[in-house]
Amino acid sequence: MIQMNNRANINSTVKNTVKPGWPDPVLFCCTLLLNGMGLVSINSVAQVAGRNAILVRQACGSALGIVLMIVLSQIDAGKITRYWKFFYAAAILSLLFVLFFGVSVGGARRWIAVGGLTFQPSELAKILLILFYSEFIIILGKKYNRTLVFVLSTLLILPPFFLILKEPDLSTSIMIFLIFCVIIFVAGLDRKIIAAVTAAAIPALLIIIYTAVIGGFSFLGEYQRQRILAWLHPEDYANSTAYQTMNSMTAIGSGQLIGKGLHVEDADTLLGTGFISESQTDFIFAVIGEQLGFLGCCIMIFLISAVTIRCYMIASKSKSLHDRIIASGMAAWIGFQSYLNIGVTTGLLPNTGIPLPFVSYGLTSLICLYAGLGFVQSIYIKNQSADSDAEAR
Amino acid sequence: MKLPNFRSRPIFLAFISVLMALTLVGRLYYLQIIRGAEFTQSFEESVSRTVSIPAKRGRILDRNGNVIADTQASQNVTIVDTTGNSSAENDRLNRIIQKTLGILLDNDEDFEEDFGISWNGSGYEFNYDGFNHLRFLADVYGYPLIDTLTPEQRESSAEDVVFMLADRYRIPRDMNTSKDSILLLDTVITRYRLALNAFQKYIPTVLARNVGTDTVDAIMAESDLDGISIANTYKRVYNDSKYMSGLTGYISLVSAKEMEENEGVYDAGDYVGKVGLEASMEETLRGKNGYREISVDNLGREKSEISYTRPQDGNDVYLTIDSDLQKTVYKLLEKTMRDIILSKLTDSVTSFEITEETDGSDILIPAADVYGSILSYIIDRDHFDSEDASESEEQMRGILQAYLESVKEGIRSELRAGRTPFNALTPEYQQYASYISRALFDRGVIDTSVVDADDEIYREWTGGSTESLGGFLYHAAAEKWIDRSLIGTDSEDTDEVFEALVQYVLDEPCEDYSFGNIMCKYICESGAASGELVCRILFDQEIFDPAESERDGIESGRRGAAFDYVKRLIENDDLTPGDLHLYPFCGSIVVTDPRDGSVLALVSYPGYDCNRIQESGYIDMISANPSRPLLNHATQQRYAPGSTFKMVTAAAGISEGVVTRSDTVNCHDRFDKIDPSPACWIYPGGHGYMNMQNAITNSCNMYFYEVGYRLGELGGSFSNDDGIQVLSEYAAMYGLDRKSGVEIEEAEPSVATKDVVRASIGQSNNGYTTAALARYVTAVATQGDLYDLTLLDHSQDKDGNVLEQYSAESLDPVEVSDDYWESISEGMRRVCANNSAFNSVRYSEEDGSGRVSAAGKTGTAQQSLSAPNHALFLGYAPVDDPEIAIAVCIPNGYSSSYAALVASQVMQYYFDPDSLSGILSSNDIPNYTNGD
Repeated sequence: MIQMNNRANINSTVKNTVKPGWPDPVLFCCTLLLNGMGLVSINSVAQVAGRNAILVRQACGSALGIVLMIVLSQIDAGKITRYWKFFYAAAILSLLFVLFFGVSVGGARRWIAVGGLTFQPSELAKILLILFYSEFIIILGKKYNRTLVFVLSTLLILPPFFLILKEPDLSTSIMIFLIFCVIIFVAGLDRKIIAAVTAAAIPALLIIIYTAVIGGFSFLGEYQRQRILAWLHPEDYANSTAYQTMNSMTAIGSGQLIGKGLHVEDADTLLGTGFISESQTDFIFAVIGEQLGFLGCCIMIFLISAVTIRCYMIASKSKSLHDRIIASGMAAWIGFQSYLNIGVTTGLLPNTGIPLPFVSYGLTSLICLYAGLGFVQSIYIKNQSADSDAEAR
Repeated sequence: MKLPNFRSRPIFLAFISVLMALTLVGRLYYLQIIRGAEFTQSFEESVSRTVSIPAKRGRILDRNGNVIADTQASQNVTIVDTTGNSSAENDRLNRIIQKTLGILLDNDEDFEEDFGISWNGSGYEFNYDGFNHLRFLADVYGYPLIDTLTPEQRESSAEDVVFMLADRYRIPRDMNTSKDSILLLDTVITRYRLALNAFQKYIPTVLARNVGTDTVDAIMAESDLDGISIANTYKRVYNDSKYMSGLTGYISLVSAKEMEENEGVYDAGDYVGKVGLEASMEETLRGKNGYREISVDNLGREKSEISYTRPQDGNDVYLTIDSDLQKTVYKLLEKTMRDIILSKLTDSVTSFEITEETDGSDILIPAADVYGSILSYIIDRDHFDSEDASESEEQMRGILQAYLESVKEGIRSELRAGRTPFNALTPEYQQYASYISRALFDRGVIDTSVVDADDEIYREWTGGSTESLGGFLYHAAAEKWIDRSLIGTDSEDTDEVFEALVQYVLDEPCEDYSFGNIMCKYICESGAASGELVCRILFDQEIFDPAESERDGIESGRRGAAFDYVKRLIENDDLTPGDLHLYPFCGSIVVTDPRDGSVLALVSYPGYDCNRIQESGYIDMISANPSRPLLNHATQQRYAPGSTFKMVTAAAGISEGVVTRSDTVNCHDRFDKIDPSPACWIYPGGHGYMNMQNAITNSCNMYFYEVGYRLGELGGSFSNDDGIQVLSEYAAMYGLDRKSGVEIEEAEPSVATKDVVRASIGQSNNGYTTAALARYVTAVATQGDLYDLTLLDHSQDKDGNVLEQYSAESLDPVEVSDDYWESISEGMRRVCANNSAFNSVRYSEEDGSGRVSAAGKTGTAQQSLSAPNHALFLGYAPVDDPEIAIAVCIPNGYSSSYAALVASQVMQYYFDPDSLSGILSSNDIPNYTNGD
C-alpha cells in the first residue's frame, strides 16, 4: 500500500493523465479468484464431455484477459473514450453484421465466425456502449439541458437493443437496457422521472406476467409465455420447458452443504449423467452448486458481490462523471448479469439464457469483461493519485 | 450547463447489489440446506430407471405330459437411439434404421407396425376411421387436441402424412419400387416410435419379434448398426394349435387397463392370457418379472446397472385332456362334416334356398355356392386391383364391379322408394340390409346414445321383420339419430339428411370387403362368374397346387372340370368345412371320463392357430370368417338340445308320479291337447303305444308331450308355468341351469321358460352348451353322479413339485328311482344297438376284440326355417361301467345320425386306437335319416 502511494505520488505531476500505478488488490484478487472457480468448473464439464479444448481455450482467454486488464489499467480511459462515435458505430455495425452473416446455432444468430474462432458482438456491444455513454453524456451535457441529454441517450440505446432482440437474444437486450438504466441513474437522472418510470414499469411487468399466466392475449411470444409459466410452475413443465430449470435446481439442491466434490463420476452427479446440457455456459452455476455445495456457492456469490461493490465504490470515489459512468456500468454488468444468471439456475427467475460473468465459458464475454475491469482499475489508480494529490496539497 | 454530482448513487446501487446477493444466498440456503436431502433423493430417482425382465411363462401339458403350450427362447430385433442431435447424426440414424429394416424385409420378418397407416400393395392407406383416425392425425401432427387440426390436416391423405413425417425426420424419399415405399413407411414408423420414446431412450423399441436365425446372422454381420440389438426373450409356442385353440386360448400384449387393474403385476410389453386356459390360469402360469435398476443419462441412455432381480418362472399346468384323443376327435368331426358336404354337393342346380317345406334329405349344396365361398373367403380380391393382376383377375374385377353397380342401384331404389318390408326381401337383399344396418350402428352413423330404445319403428326394425331398411333409416333421419358429421352434411332438413345417408350407404358400407363377401355367393349363383373363372384365379394366386390334368381341364373348358376340382379340394381337406361357410361349418364335441368328471377332450371346430395371433391381420382375418373360430363352440354357443333333453323330462315324469315305467302313451295323429297341435316326428305315421324305455329308444315326441302336459296339470288344471317350473327343477338337478365348471369362458345355459309341452322334447327356448350337455350325459351314464367338470389335473413348479391337485367337484347326485335308470339306460342302449355305426365300436385285440356296448340319445333341433337342423348326440360306453361319456353338437348338421356317427367313431378310437386309420379312410356317410 505504501509502495503504491509512493508510486502515485511520483506520477501525480502530470495532470489529467494516469500515472502508472498498482491496481486495486481487492478487485484484482476477487476477479482472479472468480475466474479461477470458473476454470475449475469448466474443467469438470470438459472432462465429462471429453472436450478438453474448451478448458484450454478458456484458460488462454483468461490469460489474455488478465494481460489486457493490466495494460488498460495503466492507460487513462479518457484517451480511449475520445473515440466514442467510433465505438457506437462499431457496436451497431457488428450487430448488423451478425444479423446478416452470423452463424446460426439453435435458431439464434449470435456469433460471427472469424477463422476458427467465433466472436459474439452483443458482448462486445456492452463494453462499447458503456464507453460510448461515458463520453456522450458529458459532451452533450455541456451543450444541452439534462432532460434532453437523457432523451437523446434513450433514443440511442434503442438500435442496439432491438438489433440484439432480433438475433434473438432477449436476455442480452435486457442486460444492455439494465446497464443503460444504471448509467443514466448514475449520471443524475431526475428523481421524479425515476419515480414515474418505476411506478409505470412495475404494474406493466405484473400485467405482462399476468397475461402470460391467464393465456389468450399476451404481450409476449408463445415461447416466452411458456418460459414464464414454466418458471411459475416448474413441476408441470418438468419434461419440456422447465426441464433445464428442474434439473438445475435438482443438481444445486443435491449439492447440499459441502457439495459432491470435484471428482467426476458418471452416475453420482447430474453433470456426469448429462442432465444439464451445455452446462459450461448458462448453467455453469448448477455445476458449482452440485460440486461445491452451499459453501462454494456462498464463496462465489461473495466474490461476485465483492467485485461489484468494489466497482461501485471506485465509481463513488471518482470525481469525474465520466469515470463514474464506466465503473458503475461495469458494476451493473457484472452484478446484474450474475444475479440474473444465478436467479435462473436456482429457479427464482424465468429461464433465460445468459452467461455467468468470468465463470461461464465464452471468450468474447471474458475478454470484454477483463477490458472493462481494466478501465475500472485505471480509474482506481487515478482516484488514488488524486487522493494523494489532495493529501499532498 | 454542468451536470450535478451524484456520488452517493453508486453506493445506493452497491447496497441494492448486497440485497440481491443476500436474496440469492437465501434461495441457495432453501434449496441446498432446507430441501437438500429431498433434492438428493429426487436426483437419485431422476437418474435411475427400472427395466423389467420378463418371466418365463409356465407350460400347459396334457394328462400324459405332452406339451400343448410351450415357452421357448426367442429373439427380437430392437433399437435404442444412441445418436446425437446433429444433422449428420440424424442421417446416420436413418441409415441404421433403413439398413436394418432392409434386412428384416429381405428375410420376410413381420415388422412391428402398430401405426395408423399401412401399405396396401399399391399405395398408403389409413388403418382407422372416425374418431381414431382423427386422434391418429392429431398425434402425428403433434397436437394434444383433435380440434387443433387445421382443415387441410384433417383432409390429408395417408401419403401426405408419410411424406410430412419423412421430411420431419429428413428421410430421403426415393421411391421407385413398392419395396422402397414399404421401407419408407417402416422407417417413418420407427422414427416416430423413437420420438415418442425420446425421454426414455433406455427402453428399446422392438422392430420385429421372433426373428429367424438368418436375420440374426445378417444383423450380427453388420458392424455399423449402432443401437440395433438382438434381444433374447420368450415366445409362446402352441403345439397342434388348431386342435387345442378352444382350450388354450392365447396370450397377447397387456393393455393399459389390465395393468391398472392388476397394479404392480404387469409391466408394459408383458404378455397376458386373454382367453381360454391362458386367461383362467394366468396367475399360475405367469411367474414374476425380474427387474434391472439402471442409471441413465439425460436422454435416458443406459449408463450402468445398479441392481438386478432375477425373474421367477411361472408354473406348469397339467390338464385332464388327452391330446391324442383331442386331436382325433377334431379330425373325426371335421371328416364327418366334410362327408356331409360332399354328399350334398351337386352341380345340377345353381341355387338352392331352404324353405319351411324342404325335407332335410332334399337339401342340396350347389357347386356355385362353393365357388362363391372360395371367391368370398379364399381368394384375395384386393389383388384384382393391383398392377400385376392376371387376366382372369381383371375379368372377375369387371364382373364384381358390374354386379356391385346393379346391387347399389337396387339398394338405392329400395331405400328411396321400394321400402319392401325386411321379411319380403329376397334372402340376398335381406343379407345386404342386415349388413348395412349393422355397419351404420357399428360406425356410429346411427348414434345409439340418442336412439330411443322404446321407439316403435326402432324396435320393429331391430327385433321384428316387417319394417323396411329405407323406412327405418328415414325415420332415424327424422328423429335426428344420425351423426351428420360422419355423412358429410350439416343440414337440418330430414330429406337432405336422408339423401346424404343414402349416398353414404352406397359409398361406404357397400364398398366394404365384407359386403363383397356376401355378394360373391350370388354372383356365382347367378352365373355371372363361372366356376372355371374362380378356379383360374385360384391357380393365378397359387393358393393350391393343382394337378396338371386339373389345370388343363379347366383351361380347356372341359365340362365339369371346375366342379371336379373343387370337389377334390374338399376331399383332400385343402378346403375344409370351416373355410367354406357351407352348412355345416362348425361343431363341437366334449368327451368326459364319467368315473371322475374330468374332461378328456373338448373340441371346438374350426380351430385357429394361436401361434399366429400376434401376426398383423390374423385376428381380423379369422374374425371375418363366418364360422367364427375365435368362439368356443363347445362352451360359448347354446343350442336347443332337441330330443337329448328327453331324459330330463322322463326324470320329472317318473319322480312327480305322472307316469310309471310301464305306463304307455299312444302315439298317433297330433298332440291335440294344445293348439296349435304339435306332432311326433314320425307323423303322419305313429309309434303306437310307447312306454318310457321305448319312447327313449324311438325318441317318441308324443310320449314326452304327454308327460310334459301332465307336469303342467300337477296343480289341477293345465298350466304352462307350473309345468315349466317342475321341468326346470329337474333340468337344474342335472346341472343344466348353470355353467358346467370347465375352466374357460362359458355361456350360461338357459332353461326353457315357456311352452312346457314343446320344452319337454328339448325345443321351446331351451339353450345349452355342449359342455353343459356333457355334464348331463355324464350324470346319465353314472346314474346320478353330477360333477362340476374340470379340465385341470394339477399344477407344478419348474422343479416338478406339485403345487395343487385339481379334481372335478362332486355335486348333489341326481336322485331318481331305479325304474327310471333302468328304463332310460336300456332305452339308450337300444338306440345304439339299432344304429349300425355302433357295431364297429370294439375293444382292441389285446382286450379281446369284443363289442363294446354303447348307449346314447340323438337329438335334432330346429332353430331356423331357412337352415338345416342342428344335429346332436349324447352317449356313453360301456353301458355297464362307463369309461367315457360324449356330447356332440353339429349346428346345421342336417340330421342327428351324423352326430351319432362321429360319436361312434370317437368311441371306436377310444377303445381301440389302432382302428383310427380304418375310420379315417372310410368314406361311408350314412344316408340322411329322418327323425331326430
